[in-house]
Amino acid sequence: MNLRMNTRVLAPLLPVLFLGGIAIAAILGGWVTESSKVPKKLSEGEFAGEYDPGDIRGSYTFGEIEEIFAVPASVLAQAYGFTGRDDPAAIQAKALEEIYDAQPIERDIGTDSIRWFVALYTGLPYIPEEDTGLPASAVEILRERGSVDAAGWLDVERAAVEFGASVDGDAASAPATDEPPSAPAAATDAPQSAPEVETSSGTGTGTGSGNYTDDERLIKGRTTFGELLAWGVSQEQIEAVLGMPAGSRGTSMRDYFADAGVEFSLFKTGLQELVDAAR
Amino acid sequence: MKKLSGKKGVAWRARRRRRMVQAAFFVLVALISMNHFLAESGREIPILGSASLHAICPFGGVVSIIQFTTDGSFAQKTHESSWILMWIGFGVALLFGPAFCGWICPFGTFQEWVGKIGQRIMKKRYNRVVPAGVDRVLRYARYGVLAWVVYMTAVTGKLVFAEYDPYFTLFNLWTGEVAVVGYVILAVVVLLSLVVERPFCKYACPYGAVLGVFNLFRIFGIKRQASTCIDCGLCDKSCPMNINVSGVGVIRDHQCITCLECTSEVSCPVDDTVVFQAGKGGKS
Repeated sequence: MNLRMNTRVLAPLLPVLFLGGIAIAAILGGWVTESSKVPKKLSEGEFAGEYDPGDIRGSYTFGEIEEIFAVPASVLAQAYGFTGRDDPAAIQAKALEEIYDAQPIERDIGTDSIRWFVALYTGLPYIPEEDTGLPASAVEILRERGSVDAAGWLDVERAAVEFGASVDGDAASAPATDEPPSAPAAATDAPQSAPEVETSSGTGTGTGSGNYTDDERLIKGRTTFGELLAWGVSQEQIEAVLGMPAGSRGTSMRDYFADAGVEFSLFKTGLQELVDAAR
Repeated sequence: MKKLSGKKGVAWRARRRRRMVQAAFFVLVALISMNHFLAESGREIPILGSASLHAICPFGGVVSIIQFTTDGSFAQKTHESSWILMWIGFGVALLFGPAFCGWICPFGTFQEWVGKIGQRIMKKRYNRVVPAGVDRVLRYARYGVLAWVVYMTAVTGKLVFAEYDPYFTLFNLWTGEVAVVGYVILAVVVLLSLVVERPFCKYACPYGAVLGVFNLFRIFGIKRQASTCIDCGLCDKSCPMNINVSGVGVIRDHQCITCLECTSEVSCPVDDTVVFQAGKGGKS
């Protein structure tokens, strides 16, 4: 039997098939267009069972961070220079990368900075990436809150970044543009000269697809095992450095080391050396 | 306005149906993409969805196939929605071939719109400028793009194509998320669209390459009855993808986008000669 079709049938049928398929998937709970906004919980140590600040994603809004970690959105906005915004709860963590990338600083202020700030504010454990920075305004909030111990202050002061121009184009005042009266010394000195900073030249800043060029082969928390392999490092070499099985290709360093419960910084140099040697 | 009647009226209304569906999906995707941008700054339009463009692109599912089958996860920025759209797209393609390309894909629609300007400039030379030998080889380039994208996504776990994808660029012009190379490629596609119909679809689209394979075994196919064909060649001239419809009984060309421009409902002047049907039929 021959069944014939024309535009009179196809025109309504195609939207029905696509939109109907989406509707059915939505009814069945399968239509998911964004990542889960519930971070993983810490599995070990004193804070086992608490939400892991290391699992804050770029898509999290300040409002969601407030709900999960009890860090007020207004405090986050103040820390990162969004003081002119009417609705700080709607700001996404990844907005920092777009704004701070334009600044002539040698530290990254993005989602990882938020993770670190939340951890310092709440007292939860988190080890940031080596080149993560904190605006002087965030440092000042932490200083006033007194939630960071003396050892932690050394890292905070080293990561403090001061700006000479406004960071939020739409009305927010610049963090530390007006020098905080009691900002840490390192923040008011020349934070651009922070020790052991790896200049990132704007690498993988969260926009676009994250395709790296030769000059940008720097191991960061968002680097995936797949990228390491693509850069010419073999799985055996990776596992020799790690001393344990490597993650799947799509797994980022941050997720891998968080799951393994070990510090990323312990292995970063070794992995970077493999990448450099493979060039 | 004088209402068209008879064969011309049928053709005009058939074309209008497809254009309305195309325009509707273009507007829908543009609104969702715009709303995604607004949502990031807390100015989301209620009711209207605000998913990212990656989340509503079926190709995100295709590039995640290897990663999903090996470790159960999706490439970065893609989600279950891409996976679902991929399967819907495959189901539709199994029935009708790449109807997604001809009726729904907003970037195909955009190229057609730019092509209208090209038709006015180039007149009869429009879509006839690439030498046949070169064109025939270039048509397979999109399979190279597909292989590269799937491989690189599987290797890195990241959406490597987004940076180069002119479709992503078009709907993110206002976001600041577009790489320079994306703007360059979009500009090239726009310029090429002035002389060639759907150049990105023909030569570079990796998703079109996937769906094109379904033309080999789709249930509904474009079939030509040689017994009633008058060899006028209008089916060939009307095909945006330059397929030689008049030379075969059943169109199995991987480039067919199921636009139905060649059929007796639209361009073929003889009733029941070029038809879109399931079952037997179509002899050369």
